[in-house]
Amino acid sequence: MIKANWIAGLLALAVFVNAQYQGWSLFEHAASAQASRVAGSGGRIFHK
Amino acid sequence: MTSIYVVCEFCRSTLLRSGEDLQNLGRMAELLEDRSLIQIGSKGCYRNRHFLVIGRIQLRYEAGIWNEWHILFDDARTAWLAEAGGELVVSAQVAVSDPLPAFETLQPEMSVSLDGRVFTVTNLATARCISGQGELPFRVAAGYDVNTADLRGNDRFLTLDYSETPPLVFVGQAVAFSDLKLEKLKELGVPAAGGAPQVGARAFNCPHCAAPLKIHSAAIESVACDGCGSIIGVENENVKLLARAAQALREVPWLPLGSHGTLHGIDWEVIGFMRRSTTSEGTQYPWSEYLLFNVQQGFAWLIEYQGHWNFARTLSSPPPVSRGQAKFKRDGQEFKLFNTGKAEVTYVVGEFYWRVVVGETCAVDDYVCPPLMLSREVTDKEAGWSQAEYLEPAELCAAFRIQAPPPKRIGVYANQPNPLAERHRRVCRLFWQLALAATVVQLAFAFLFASQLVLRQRLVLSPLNDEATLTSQEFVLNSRARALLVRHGTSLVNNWVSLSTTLVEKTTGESYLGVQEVSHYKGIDEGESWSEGSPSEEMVFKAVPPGNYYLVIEYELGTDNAEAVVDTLEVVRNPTGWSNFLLLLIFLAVFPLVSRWRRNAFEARRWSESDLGGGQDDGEAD
Repeated sequence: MIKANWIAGLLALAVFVNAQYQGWSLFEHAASAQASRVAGSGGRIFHK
Repeated sequence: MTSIYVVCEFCRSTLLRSGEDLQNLGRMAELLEDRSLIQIGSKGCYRNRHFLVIGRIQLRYEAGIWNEWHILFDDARTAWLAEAGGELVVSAQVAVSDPLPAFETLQPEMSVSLDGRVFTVTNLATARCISGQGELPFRVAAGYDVNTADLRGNDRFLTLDYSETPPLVFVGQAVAFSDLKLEKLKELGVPAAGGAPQVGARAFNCPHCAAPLKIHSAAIESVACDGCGSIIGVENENVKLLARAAQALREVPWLPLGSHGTLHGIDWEVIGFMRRSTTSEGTQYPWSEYLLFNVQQGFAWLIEYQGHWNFARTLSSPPPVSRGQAKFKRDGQEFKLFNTGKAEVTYVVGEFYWRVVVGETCAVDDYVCPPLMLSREVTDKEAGWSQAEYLEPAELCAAFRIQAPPPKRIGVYANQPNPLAERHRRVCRLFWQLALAATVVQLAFAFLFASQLVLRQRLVLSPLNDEATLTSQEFVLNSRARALLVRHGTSLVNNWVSLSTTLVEKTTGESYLGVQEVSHYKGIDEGESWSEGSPSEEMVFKAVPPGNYYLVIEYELGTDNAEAVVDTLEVVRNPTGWSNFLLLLIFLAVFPLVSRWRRNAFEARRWSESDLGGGQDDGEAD
């Protein structure tokens, strides 16, 4: 069990480090990853 | 020299030393020759003081015979070296100021206070000094009767000798044979001075069935015949039938008598086997005890119960524990009462250092601190303690070179070490190591890769416009943001607002959309305040490239409350989240929780066998 614990613990730690680096969170409200282009550069009007 | 009486080795006359003259006081009874290794002329060392054995007396009591060797130290002081039941005790006479209790008032386990020290009565015996040898400080003549009481306190041994008034007091210590560094001992097979030839193991025939039997030690007082079950008393060169064919059922010891094995670096021989049992709630619980012998170490026991083995030895300094005491500490270890009961001898075979009788009973208390168990056995004349250590069956088989599989272990024994306890400790240690590493990583993200507030702006969401669009100030991302947190902290009360937040890169027009619903209601209902929802909401944009950005916020405000809402807009670059850290700790904690549960399940099985229903402390360090 202790060996499995070691492996699982280190894996979890690695996933944690990556999640923190990537800014992942299970509980956060992520905005849409889909990028769209607003008509006209520097345009100040947003169309839904 | 303090000795005033000398017993002639050849004619057994007792001579009184009076200055340079010797006066013959008459002949003394013959010594009952035994197989003690000590003899007149033996030398040894006790507490770095050399001594010489100059005399001895022999005493007989109902359970057999013991020797008291008179020893003379280099500084001309004398003492006694008692040799009984495989135990050696060096003691010297002392004067005490406290009055001594009468012999008749003493009981086993009774506490006696002498000169500020408390002793416990461990043995009461009415003996007869039957013979003497060598130089002695008193006259033995034809013998005399004596009541003696042995008491123990801490590591001290006290003997009250009621042969005189007031009683004589001897104080000493139990000592290991090897610690005495004895020299000039009797050599096995070599005739002792004036005595019969000595052998390591004396052979004789059962007086009832003529089966060949052996005696290995001077301390052996009885032999149970394997052939017919008779119990034979051993007094001297002769043997006496004590109980004829006393045992109808014959039991075969799993470990044969005569087996040799090395345990704790000492070579032991199995010389006796007995079955004992205790009854609890109508159920009989039998176990086996094997008596082990080593010439220098004396006696030890191997105890087997349902496949569980213990190696036990008598304690020379028993703990001061009253009857029924639930727990006590000894050498920093806590022992807990596990079982109490009455043990009865049901079967014996082989040699024993007391007059063993089938049917003899004693009260037993077992205290456990795995892998140790301290047991107290009390009769009306004796109170003794032994310390047992759990022995793995494989270790026993290796020690006695036994190929056959040992009896299968059933259940969890009282002092069986919990194999899951050490594993649990290791799992806990690993948890703390990983938790520390996770904390270091979390702090590094919080401080070294610090989050940065790139925008903070107050916006007013007006109820006059039920749908409106606001644009934030611009902010710059110099490099790619792994995450960009947009937080709306509103003054919303009893209302809701729907927010569509679009992150727009000014130059390229790239945009990212996020929709949020903020709702916050609160009030007091029947005197109790309540609240629902939250006035603030967060949203994260992932992997945002560098550039100049602004936010376009389109909102729809509810009509439940007519007040304008102030929205404090914050944009944080690379925020450090704590939820991952907490999740990791929860995940890591699963392992010690599971191992703790398994460890406690083992302990629950152990204590389910106890009729006292004790248990482990939950406060055990994890």
